Amino acid sequence: MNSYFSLAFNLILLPCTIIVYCLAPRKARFAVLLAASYVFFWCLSGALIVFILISTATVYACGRQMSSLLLRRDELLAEVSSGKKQIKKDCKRRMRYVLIVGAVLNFAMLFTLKYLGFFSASASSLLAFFGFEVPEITATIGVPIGISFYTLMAVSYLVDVYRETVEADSNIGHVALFLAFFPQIMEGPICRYGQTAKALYAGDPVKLGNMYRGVLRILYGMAKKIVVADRLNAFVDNVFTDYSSFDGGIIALAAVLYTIELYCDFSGTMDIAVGIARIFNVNLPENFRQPFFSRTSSEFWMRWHITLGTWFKDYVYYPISLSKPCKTLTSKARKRFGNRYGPLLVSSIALFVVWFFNGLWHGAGSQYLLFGMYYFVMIFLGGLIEPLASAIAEELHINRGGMPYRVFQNLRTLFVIFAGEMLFRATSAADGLTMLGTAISDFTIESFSQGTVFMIGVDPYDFAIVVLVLLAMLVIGVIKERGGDPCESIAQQNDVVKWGVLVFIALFIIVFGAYGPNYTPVEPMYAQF
Amino acid sequence: MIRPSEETIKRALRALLGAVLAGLAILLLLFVLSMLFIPKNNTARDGIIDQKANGILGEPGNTIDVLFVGDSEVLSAFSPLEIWGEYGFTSYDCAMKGHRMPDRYSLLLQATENQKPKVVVIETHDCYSPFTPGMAFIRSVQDALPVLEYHDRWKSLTFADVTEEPDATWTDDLKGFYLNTDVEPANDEGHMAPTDEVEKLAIMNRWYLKMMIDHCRKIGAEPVLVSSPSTYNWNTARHNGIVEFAKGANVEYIDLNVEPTKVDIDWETDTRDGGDHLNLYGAVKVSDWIGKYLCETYGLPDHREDPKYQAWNVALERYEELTD
Repeated sequence: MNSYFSLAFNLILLPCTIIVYCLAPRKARFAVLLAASYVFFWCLSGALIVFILISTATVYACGRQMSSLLLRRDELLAEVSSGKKQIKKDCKRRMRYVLIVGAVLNFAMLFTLKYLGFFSASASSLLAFFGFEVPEITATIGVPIGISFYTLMAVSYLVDVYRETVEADSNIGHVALFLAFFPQIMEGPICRYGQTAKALYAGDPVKLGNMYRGVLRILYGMAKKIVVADRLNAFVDNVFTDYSSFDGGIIALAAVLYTIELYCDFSGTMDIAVGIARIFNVNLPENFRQPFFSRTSSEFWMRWHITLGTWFKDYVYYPISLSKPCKTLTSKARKRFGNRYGPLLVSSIALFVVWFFNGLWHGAGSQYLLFGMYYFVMIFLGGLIEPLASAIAEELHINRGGMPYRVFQNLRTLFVIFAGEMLFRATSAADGLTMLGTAISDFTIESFSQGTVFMIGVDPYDFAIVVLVLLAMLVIGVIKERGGDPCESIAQQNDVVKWGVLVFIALFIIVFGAYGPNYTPVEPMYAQF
Repeated sequence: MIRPSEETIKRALRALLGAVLAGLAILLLLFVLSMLFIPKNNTARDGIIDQKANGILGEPGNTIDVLFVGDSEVLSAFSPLEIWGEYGFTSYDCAMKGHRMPDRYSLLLQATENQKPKVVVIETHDCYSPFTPGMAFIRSVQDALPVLEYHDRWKSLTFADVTEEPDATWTDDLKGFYLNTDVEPANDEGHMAPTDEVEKLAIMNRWYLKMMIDHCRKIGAEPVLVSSPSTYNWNTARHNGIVEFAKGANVEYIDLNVEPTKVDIDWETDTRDGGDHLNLYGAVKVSDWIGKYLCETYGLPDHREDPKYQAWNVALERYEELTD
């Protein structure tokens, strides 16, 4: 069992969990989910499960500590008539210490297991440049599955308890399940305690409607991953591994196909996570909202990996931009650069921090840092040139609300997205920049007209299937964009249509899935982050 | 306890019925698609996976005396035409590279559908190749529903796939043997050094080996376990493991790496990849040894003068042209 796509998961763990969950008394159902989650975690990471147990214990203990501080504060407030402000301040200060201890412990584990090697190697190279020989430190114990996801969830829980937006849970099992819930442990979504915890331990019965909707969503996700992402893997892999052998046209196509592959892999896995959770009556937050319909880079990040974006917004961007030093800086900047550019320049500090850590979160590699900085520049520039763009549009009498301009914005954003994903997928920042340069300077359609495009691992039939599924996804996307819910619409049809759709999707995956000796499936990409 | 209403029970039963019918519909459609997708002949052009190993299916019925089953060790070590030229009995390398035991068992079942071999030589290397229950499950399901293995044939389906019955008419000139004359010497220092250590077979591997032996006996063939020479894959602990198994299963075991059944392999010249697999020169020695042994032990017939087997003599001529 190595992913949500393995037979052991789909034929043993998931069905057994559902059956045992249904048979268990309501109060014990969360324990069934927790046991299944730890079995899954163990299968993927073995003894590294100890790290999520440590995270759970520290987060639980810190949460309880903050809770008792709040309790003590309330008692004191009830006892005294004056000095209430000081009591609250003292309590907040102590809670902050606890929060810092909990967050540092969890981030320290993440840093040691995931980033130590990268930073050590970078520091070692830098020191070597100045003539100091320092040996590299490498962590050899491995990285537990989903550490980047559950660490952010752990810290968000602590911050929410600190902010008093959620109450610290008195049951360590509840906290454990919140962090380790098996459908989300591999690739998220990054949930907040207030979003899912109650539903997780409520032990609601498995309802037929939820079961159908869950299975339908799971199959949709599998179709995206197995039919599209796995099919494109060979092409993407061949081009990115040996990009110097290909012309700019092929490299540009590889960037487009990689973006599609990544989307189908990641959003497909999210569909599966949401579908499985739905079976247990747990509504996980959506991570994607038709990202390719975006008209700007910042809109794209409000539609792509939404839970990561909102995590950074709530726990990094706002705390920095609303901090005292930033506020002071904003008023000074406002005086100097005016009401538009002043705040924009100051908020770019928070934006920079967000995108530095966003890049780093994706992996310990220079290409990820470049990816983060790329979006920082794009979003910052977007804000900076907006008045200019507006003025030019007015001068040229362009209707910015009209369809042609929206299409232009959409195409422009797609270009930014494809270029960004090229940097992201490249084996290093230098390779990414070289590929981007080749795609622009050596762009040619020769490989397409000569047919060599079909000799890189994806034949014309494969392309046809990819286009077919993408068209179906486009239709579904348009319906969703207009407020519809295709899954719900199908679930409300008569039995023949309902079951017919399931049978059709299952057979479609079996026949057109890219599995077997002719294909190499995509490694679950986001599981590595 | 709250009793569910009649309406709830009705809805649940309806949903259950829907799920069962959907499952049955999927199975039925997979069965129909399997008939459509299964290759209509045993060639790569027709879509068959590993044409060489499946060449056995094209051999005329009941004409093969010995089957060699296993993985790449088999198709590198046993040359059926070398044996034919020397001893006159027919044999075939029923093996694929990277074969695991479930695949091997499946191919053995297919091969013995129209062949009644007198001896089945089971090479022991992949008895130690690990495989998961999932791999065994997939093999069984693929055997029952070939569309799962040949689903990619949607790209090459023709009208003939609807009208024609599956057949096998292609045979391999080398009878499954992989002819390779590359030389990469091996260091055989310490190879088969004495030890009491016993490398036990994994439960699943033991189970499949037992099933293969039982199948051989069921069809009247004598199963023989053989370890081909390899410094890379074989050692005394594994030898001891197979000795122990062979005793328990009451089956003959020959290890060509140790005396008195050792084949005199020159590890400087007779291996193509540093001791993992034999090359043609090593295969000639092994084939000569095993051919003589099987001929003498099991009294296998000499068909060289039999007009029914003239195709073998023609194949031998081509083989000799290739090997000269």
